[in-house]
Amino acid sequence: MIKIDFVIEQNGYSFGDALHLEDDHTFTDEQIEAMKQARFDNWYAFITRVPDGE
Amino acid sequence: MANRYWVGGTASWDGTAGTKWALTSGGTGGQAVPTATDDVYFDAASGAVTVTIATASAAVARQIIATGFTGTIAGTQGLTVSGASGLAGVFTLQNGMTWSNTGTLSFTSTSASTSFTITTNGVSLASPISISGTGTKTLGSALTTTSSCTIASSFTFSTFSLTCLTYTDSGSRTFSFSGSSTIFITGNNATVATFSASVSGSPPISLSYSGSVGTRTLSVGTPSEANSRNISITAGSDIITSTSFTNFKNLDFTGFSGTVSTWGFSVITIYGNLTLSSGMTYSATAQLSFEATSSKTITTNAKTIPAQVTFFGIGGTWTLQDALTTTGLISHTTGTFNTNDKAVTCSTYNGSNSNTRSLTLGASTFTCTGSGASAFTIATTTGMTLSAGTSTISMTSASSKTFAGGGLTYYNLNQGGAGALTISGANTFNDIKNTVQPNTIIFPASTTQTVSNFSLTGTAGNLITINSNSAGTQATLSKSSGTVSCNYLSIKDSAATGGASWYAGTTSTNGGNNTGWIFTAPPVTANKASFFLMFS
Repeated sequence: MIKIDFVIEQNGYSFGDALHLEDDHTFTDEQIEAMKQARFDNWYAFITRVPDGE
Repeated sequence: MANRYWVGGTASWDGTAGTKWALTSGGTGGQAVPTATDDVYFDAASGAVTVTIATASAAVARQIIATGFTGTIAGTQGLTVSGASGLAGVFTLQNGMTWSNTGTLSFTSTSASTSFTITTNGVSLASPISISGTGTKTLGSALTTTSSCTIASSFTFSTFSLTCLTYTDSGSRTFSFSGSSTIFITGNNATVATFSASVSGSPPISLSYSGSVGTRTLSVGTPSEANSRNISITAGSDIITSTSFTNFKNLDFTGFSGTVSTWGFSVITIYGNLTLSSGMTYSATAQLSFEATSSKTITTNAKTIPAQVTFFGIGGTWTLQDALTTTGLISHTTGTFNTNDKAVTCSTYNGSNSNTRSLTLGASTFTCTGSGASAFTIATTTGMTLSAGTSTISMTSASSKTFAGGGLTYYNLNQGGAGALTISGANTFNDIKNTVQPNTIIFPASTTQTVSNFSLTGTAGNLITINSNSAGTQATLSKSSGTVSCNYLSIKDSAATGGASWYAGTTSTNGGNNTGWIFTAPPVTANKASFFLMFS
């Protein structure tokens, strides 16, 4: 496994995470960047959602 | 005690003596059927024959030695090998022979002075294996069966692995192993593993079923930290669950792409590392309680934990390997929670108690999405070591929430949700800021927040309201030097002090009972470069 640490700063938020990929993964750099962004997007949607009843 | 050599050709091992057994290799048959005190030999002189265990309880021996044998042990009835007191007993098969027998193969030495070595030499068994008795059994080679394995005895794996369909151990036992010794469990759609809480020294457990059918259930029980098992689920797209109480050491789902939707109890205790896989579905609502007393890691691979996460191990340290998101409370009772620069998202964080504990935040964003008086609380700071690093604690609830800082030193505090943010404690911050406006921040009356920066700023029509939690009583903001420059604030009951110049800007509203605030824009200061240009 390889571990790719990353930080994305958007919308006033800073999000630190890591991707864990197989040693022989075939993801391109673009795909890896997309995975990083997806992690941020999912997180951002999570923290900015308005829970039921609020 | 006597030796019995099989010379019976293809025939049944049953209660009939016939001419099947000899005293010597290739000798004359006609000896009595072996008893539990006899050593049974199958060898080259036995021939490439099939010996069928055909009668229940008929096949017994003190030892089995099949060195040189090229035939087959078949049948559906069991074989019991009992060893003897003071004997270094053996069960030895010949590589290349066949064991298609499906009766239970039992090792039952009952004397503590009996040692017994099981060496199958690469022969895969079809028998259920039962290992019992007080004598210690030892593997002389890897042991593989396509059926079940039950161990109710102390057991030495040496460097070898045990592979079975389902696995059970029971009682208070001592296991030992070294190297890459592993218990591989290949079964599915059943209770595939039943562990005794009193077994110590077990090799790691690897569940290797790779299909999608059914539910694999683990009966783990409540072993202590020392006796808990390292469990890996290395493949499969089926369902994993457990019965009742469940204490794991390492729990690793790397390679698993199935689902964990329920555990058998409302709290799962993990004494080791937790690794979720990116391809799995984790929807179990059981609390994850991390209770190690040494350093461990948590890797969630972007899986959200839909449950409370608890850190509850004296001397334990849990270091995140990637972002941690839980929809539940993070309860930090004891030990060190090191976020390792990774994002943490939880409903609420409660580290308010008097136990020895540390929260190491590094450069993390620590987001609390929940509301209420305990959205983030270290109100009781006794025993807490907070290392704020360059972190940001972001409070994002759209409902009222409280940051109970307990008077500790933080880095950034962000008001990130529409609900009013109440701060308690005489805290120190690098910065208090916001990413959402309008909103409200309520500071504690007669209490000082010490800051290095103060970045709260609204927008036109979306003011940031600053007041104290006691109308008419000021809350104090203190910055030792420099200039604070804000805009679009609505300020009431606020004392701005400490030596810095506090400019609220012309866009802010003076709600009354304020001191230290200057409701103008800060003066434009010329730096040396512009001064030089002006006069050159």
